[in-house]
Amino acid sequence: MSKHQNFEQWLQRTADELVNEPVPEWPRERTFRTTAANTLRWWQKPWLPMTSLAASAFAMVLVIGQVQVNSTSDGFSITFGGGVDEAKLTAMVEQRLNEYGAAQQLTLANYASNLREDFREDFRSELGAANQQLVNYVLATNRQERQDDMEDLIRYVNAQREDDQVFFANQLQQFSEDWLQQSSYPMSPMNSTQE
Amino acid sequence: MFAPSDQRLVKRALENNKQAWLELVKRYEGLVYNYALRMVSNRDDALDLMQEVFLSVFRNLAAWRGESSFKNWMMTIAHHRCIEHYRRRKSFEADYDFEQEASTADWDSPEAVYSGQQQGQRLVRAMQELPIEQRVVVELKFFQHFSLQEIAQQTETPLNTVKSRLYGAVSRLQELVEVV
Repeated sequence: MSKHQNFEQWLQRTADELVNEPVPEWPRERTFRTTAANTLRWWQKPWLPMTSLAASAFAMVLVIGQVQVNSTSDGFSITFGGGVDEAKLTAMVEQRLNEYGAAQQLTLANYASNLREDFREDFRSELGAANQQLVNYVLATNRQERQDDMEDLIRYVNAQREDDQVFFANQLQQFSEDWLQQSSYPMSPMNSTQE
Repeated sequence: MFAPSDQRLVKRALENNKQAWLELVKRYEGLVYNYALRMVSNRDDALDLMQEVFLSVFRNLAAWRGESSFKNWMMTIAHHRCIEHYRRRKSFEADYDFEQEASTADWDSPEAVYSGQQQGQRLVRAMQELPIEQRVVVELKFFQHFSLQEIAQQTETPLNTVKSRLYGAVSRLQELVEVV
């Protein structure tokens, strides 16, 4: 380590070890100066220049903005930027009213159209339901009637068959009786030949 | 209890709160007084210089925006006041051919600055022989523990100049301390 660096270390050590001297009593308060602007109370503040500045600014706004104050039987009206005369105002009001009327008509038309559409929709759906119900009813009834008809037919056919059976039974009975009668009496050869 | 920060004290001092300002002064008066003492090696001058520094700090308090720490900012002002003080004294001495108050003999008296601290007193006495620019660099580097970059900012001199001043100052001090 060089001599220079050694000395630098000694320097730092000595500086660190040096005990600071205590500060003697001194008038610290003298370094404090109250600023005049901040110490003024609100009633001491220069209101007049500020008020006049504000009034000037307000007047400039009135002039630049061409502000007009009109007094009518309906009350006061304040207009900016040169104002509007009566006819222009009426025209503007009419235009606005027309626009409003057109908008209202459009709204009403839309409303009516929507209403009609809704009604149609409802009607269509209800009619469809009624038709469906009717079809169901007709189908059900028709089926029942056909069943009844078929039953009647079968009953009729069965009755007819029974009648036929009775008829054929009678006929058989009759033929058998006839044959028995013929066999119980001897038949002439002629008769047998004839037969 | 937590001590209020420098920023808070400065804010309150700006709102004309005297107590806040006095608290700030008490916090840093030791630092500034001893800085001044090492710069001028005379208690009365150091006290005057400290007062000037705090007056100046109060006047410029609103200008502190918190970019650097309050201590750094205050030490920059202290540096400027110290240079002014030194120049005033130089011209005063030139005008009246006034012998420097802190003579060599004064350093051996019991009232001498840093009496009882042999090594420290040797160092501070040797520092008085340095030109003011070098003395400031030694003070800020070894006593205030600022980096060379910070010293360059505070003294508003280029970094290389600070380095060369420090080197020159250390070499000169080495000679002086060995002689002393």
